[in-house]
Amino acid sequence: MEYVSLEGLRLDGRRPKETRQMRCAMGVLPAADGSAEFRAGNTRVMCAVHGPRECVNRGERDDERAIIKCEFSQAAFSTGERRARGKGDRRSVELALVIRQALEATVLVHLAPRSEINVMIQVLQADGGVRAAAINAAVLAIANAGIPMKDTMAACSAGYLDGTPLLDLNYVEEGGGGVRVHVATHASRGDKVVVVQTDNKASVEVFEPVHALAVEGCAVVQKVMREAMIEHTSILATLRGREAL
Amino acid sequence: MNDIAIGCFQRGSFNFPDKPSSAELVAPGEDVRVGHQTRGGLLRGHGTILVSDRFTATICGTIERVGNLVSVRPFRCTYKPETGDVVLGRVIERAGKCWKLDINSWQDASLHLSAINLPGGIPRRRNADDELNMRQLYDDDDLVSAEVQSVHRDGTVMLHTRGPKYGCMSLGQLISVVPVLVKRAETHFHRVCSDLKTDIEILIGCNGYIWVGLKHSACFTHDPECSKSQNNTGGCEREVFSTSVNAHTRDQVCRVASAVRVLSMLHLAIYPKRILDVVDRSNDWGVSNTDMLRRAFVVKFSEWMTD
Amino acid sequence: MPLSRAEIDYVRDGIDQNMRNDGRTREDYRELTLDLGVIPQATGSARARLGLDAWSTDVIVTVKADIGAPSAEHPGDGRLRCAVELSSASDTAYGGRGGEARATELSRALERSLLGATAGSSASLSAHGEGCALDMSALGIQRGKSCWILQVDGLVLADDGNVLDALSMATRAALFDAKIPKVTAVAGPNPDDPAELELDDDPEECSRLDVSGVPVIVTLTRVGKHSIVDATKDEESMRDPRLCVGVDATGKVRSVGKRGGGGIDLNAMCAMTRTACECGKQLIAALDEAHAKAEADAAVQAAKGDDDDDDADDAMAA
Repeated sequence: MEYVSLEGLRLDGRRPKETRQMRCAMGVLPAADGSAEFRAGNTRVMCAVHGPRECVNRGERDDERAIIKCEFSQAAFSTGERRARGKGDRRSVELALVIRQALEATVLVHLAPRSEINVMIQVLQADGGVRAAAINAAVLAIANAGIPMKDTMAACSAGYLDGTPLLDLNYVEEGGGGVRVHVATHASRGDKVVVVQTDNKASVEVFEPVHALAVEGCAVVQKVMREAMIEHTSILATLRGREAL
Repeated sequence: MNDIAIGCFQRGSFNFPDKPSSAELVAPGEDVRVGHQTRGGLLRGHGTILVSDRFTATICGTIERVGNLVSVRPFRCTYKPETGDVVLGRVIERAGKCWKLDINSWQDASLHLSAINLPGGIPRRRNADDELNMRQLYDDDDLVSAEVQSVHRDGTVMLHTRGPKYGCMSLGQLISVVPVLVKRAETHFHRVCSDLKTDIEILIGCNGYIWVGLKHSACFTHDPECSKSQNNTGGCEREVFSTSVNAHTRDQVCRVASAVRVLSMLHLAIYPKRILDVVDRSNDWGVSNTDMLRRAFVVKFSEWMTD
Repeated sequence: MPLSRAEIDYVRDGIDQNMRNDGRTREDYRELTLDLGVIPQATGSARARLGLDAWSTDVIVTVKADIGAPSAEHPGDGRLRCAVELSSASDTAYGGRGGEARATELSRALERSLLGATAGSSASLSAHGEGCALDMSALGIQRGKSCWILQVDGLVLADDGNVLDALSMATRAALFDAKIPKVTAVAGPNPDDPAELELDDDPEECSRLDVSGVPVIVTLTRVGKHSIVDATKDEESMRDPRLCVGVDATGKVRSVGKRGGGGIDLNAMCAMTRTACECGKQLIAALDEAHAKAEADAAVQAAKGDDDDDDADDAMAA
């Protein structure tokens, strides 16, 4: 299969270093303390944040900081082939753990000691890049809940197919067999890398440019997320701004 | 059954003019700039951290500067208790001589047995009997209005219910809203007269829990004084709340409660005058109680607000 | 959040006076918002919301049509299966395995209303009974060899009570939205062999399901001497008995199930069933109207979406 055409275009018509169209929405589940939806192409992930709240399980309580609990579930209808996934399958558990650790490095957990923050991720459509989309949705939902963070963490993936580094792989490209790198960074703090995971093998010569591309992609994603946050805040600000405060 | 109205309601669909300039708005990780300077002699306030000698925002909000203090004001955040706040809390459990109350914050608050007025009103030492009878005073799940007595360094919140205003809530309903919609004010107990006949009590808790009901007289679930005045059966029968609300009063309570919900949907600050605005509009436009929580009314009200 | 005794008394008293906490009467539903085609990769999908903003129940239902083998009892018919997930995004209590039993209960109730029966364990496909809501014979492809299997998947995103009714409304809408591709069976030389199936991708050639017989579930909650429709989470938290009645467009009862604590008086139950039929009939009339409107909206949205894509500036080169 040819993933990059002679004209240098990918299967969905993108150039190699182009992300899919991204859309962010905040406050999509108003009953939660914070919520957001992140879309990249046909991948669509929702996230709800509950808390910070008093830690339910005393044994898990930390007197120094808030603990973050994360759950990742994928709707049965999210993939082309219907697959009923339990919440406890190995992939979901691993993903939830990766996201939890990334969030612990981002959220200022010491500001709410002895509490817990529940981050519930729900995938509605999976078309590649679910890992990155889940992290982005979680960050947006946490921002929506007004929980302080060091930076807007943004995640993106990149891969290597047909001798070309490709940004933001879709489902078909993820199945292409090349190396895949998933990265999340704090882009405004000098591209500090918070998450990095690779699938498939690659030589260092290949890994480096692919990794660098993913990091560059994170900065682009962060910009989109920031714009969405500012847009949403300005809507809230105007509604409240009309009041004689 | 009334007709079912169909439509899609989206927050973003309202078009409000005069947005604040984007320079005043920040997202996490962005530099907080005041004018052109970023640091020189300024104090770091809420919602900011210091990164390589620059103030950086940690939350979404607007930049605010009071004197030399620079902070970011959020539009949605967890309730942060301060001494003197009037709050509504729900009893979670009893632990020793304390009740634990959910106050919509990141930590449950404690209400100590010694921080309440005992039934009868005579001040005295608490004895072992009182400790055993704690459930008679405030039972699990009870809603209690209280004041924040102190906030310890480690974040522990202590409440008290000394005073006639505080106690168990009855004859009304609770609405939970985003805490930032409530401004700290001189008083949080309000009596509004929505139709010149009925007095409705609104308690706007600083923590975003809002109570709308009849005139609230502070009492315990099992206050002997209360029970005695209403029936003489006593015992475990909880007849304290037997007083029925007449239909007209209930209609008014519903309207006020719906008004609070409408304000919350539009993310508008909640205070008595604004609540009455919503109630008045609904009356003026002949909107029935049922229709107040339908999209048509919410949109119409938001349009009225922008005019 | 559980209610205190005082609040419960107030809610009950309000139901007695026909004025509930949100201003509704006993027979009022909350405002319904219905969107069709929300999940493009499904054959049909719908999102239903009861109520507004933070006081709403929000569900997505998708229908997926796959080709499979028909059941031995009905070799000429298609098959149908329902599964419901309670998203942990709606409530932290549904985290882990928290909502599993409730999700199964909802799946089975939905399935019963559609098929008129549920048979077998959750893993096997249910056979449909006499009272099946869809014309299952229209879903057969080659007798005894292949048929369409409709998989109905529900996802609860927000739960402010009355999830089952919302799911049934969304299911009806998703079935209405479903576009089944045209499939032609080309029989081989040996009639016993499974035929070659040719799928037609042309959207113009798709067939639609006849949803006129598909019921909605009306859940009535018995509170004291009265029953209410569309109970909120607060009203449900009082653990009163509930009657879930599947009603079709003609007002016929398709399925009945009693849930919740306590028992219901026989006379009261008959009266409730009658109320449910009346409500259900009106509800379906309103839903049919909504289908037409939502489809028109979706068409407009799709046209607008295409425009958006043209001047998309979100996609950027790094």
